[in-house]
Amino acid sequence: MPMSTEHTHLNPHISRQFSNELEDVRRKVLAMGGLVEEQLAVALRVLTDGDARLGAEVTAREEQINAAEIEIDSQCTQILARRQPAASDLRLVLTVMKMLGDIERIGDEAKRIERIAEGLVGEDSHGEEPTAALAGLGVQARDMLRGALDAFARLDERLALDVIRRDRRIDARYRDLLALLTDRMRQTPDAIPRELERLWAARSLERVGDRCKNLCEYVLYLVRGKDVRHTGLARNEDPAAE
Amino acid sequence: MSTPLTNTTVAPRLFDGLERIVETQGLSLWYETRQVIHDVSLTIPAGRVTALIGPSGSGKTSLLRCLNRLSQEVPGSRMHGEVLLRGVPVRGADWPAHEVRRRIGMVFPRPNPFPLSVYENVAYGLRLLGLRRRRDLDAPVEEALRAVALWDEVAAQLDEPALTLAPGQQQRLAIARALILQPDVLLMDEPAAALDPQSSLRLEELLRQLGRRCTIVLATHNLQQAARVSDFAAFLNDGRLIEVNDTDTLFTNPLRRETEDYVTGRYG
Repeated sequence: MPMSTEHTHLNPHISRQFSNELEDVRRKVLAMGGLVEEQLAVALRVLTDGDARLGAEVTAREEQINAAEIEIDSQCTQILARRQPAASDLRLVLTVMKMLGDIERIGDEAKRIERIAEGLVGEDSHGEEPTAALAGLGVQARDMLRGALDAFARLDERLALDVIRRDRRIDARYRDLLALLTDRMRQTPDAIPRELERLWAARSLERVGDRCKNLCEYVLYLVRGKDVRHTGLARNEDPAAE
Repeated sequence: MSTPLTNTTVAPRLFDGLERIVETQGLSLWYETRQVIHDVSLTIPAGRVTALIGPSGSGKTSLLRCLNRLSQEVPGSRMHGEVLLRGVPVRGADWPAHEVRRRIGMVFPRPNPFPLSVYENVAYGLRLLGLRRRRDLDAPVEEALRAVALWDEVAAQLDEPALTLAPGQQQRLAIARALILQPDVLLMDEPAAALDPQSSLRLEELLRQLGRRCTIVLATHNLQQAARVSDFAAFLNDGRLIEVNDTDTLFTNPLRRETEDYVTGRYG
């Protein structure tokens, strides 16, 4: 890959201010990603431990995430208007603008999961198979998010490819859980409302996986300068062969 | 440093399906003992706008001037290699210099109208070719002025001195003066250098339109202008051709590290 190694070691801009602006945007995206990671971690904790005291924290953090999205987006607009970036600088700004939407929506999914989990507290579901399966799905989604943000931070093509491939596994696990929940609904119709709630939570986690895949596709665009969306390319590439 | 492949990197299949109207082969140029162009092999595709970009002193103007043999007018200059127009060497016996310059016209950074009327400025080249009668000249003059979108502005003042026109109009007049000879290729050396932003944009719009009927080679240090106007772009540095690519790729995902440094405004 010609770009990845070279472009992480580019010379500084003649305008130091411009370098600072780009670095600031990059740093803020990672900080925003960190907030969303926390949001997801809390949602999973409520889901698995039934600790509902964390709700207020989630609402406050969501406001921070939304504010970050607007601020970074506006900074990107300023850079486009004032600096007319080219090549890797342009790709960085475009990548960030696309990533923002997905990161923010991962935050939304996390909040949704947290709300569902709050509703399930006291349902005495501990130790049950679906809870364990949901927790497993949650860990996978969280790891994908961490991987996607790391891949962006380090412009790590191999990691981005790896995360994209993991999306298949999370999809498979989601389908298994869906079968399990459908089964339980059939056997115990009284439990349908509760199992449906779990189904929504599982669906949200599966969506988090999809959005992490999107993030990694943007990272590949940033590194390679080629759009890999909808090509099936990234999924079929073997990261170990890179 | 990036990998020293050859002294140029050209994306494969870049010019597929296009006529290669001008080609340089191993072109080098010296002024006295100073070498200003190093072994440049560049293809100019027909009916497209090709931008030559690079910092000051990178050899853009010198390379342009080699294409129509203007460089040989500089005392002490020496050229190696070939410039081919439709496959024929421009320095060969088949092409006298004035014929090369008729086929490969040039527009300079500053508008340089002759101290003549608007009409006579445009008609100048045809008069040199021996056309004397106004009725033979009227139609081509009007056509050339229309081609540069100047006719409507100057139709009422054709006999007034060209120097009374605004700078943007003067530059379009210079282009009309070149176009009337129906050149195959038009070389433009920083044609918007002396123009205000509005006139520059009008000139760029004109270049895009002209690019469809004749081949344009545009030397510019204005990267945004090159990005807006050209179909292909060639990056020169220190008299060496670093990269040729389609403009979209060169400005979003260049092949060479040096190009990346230049288009993103980094220290090279």
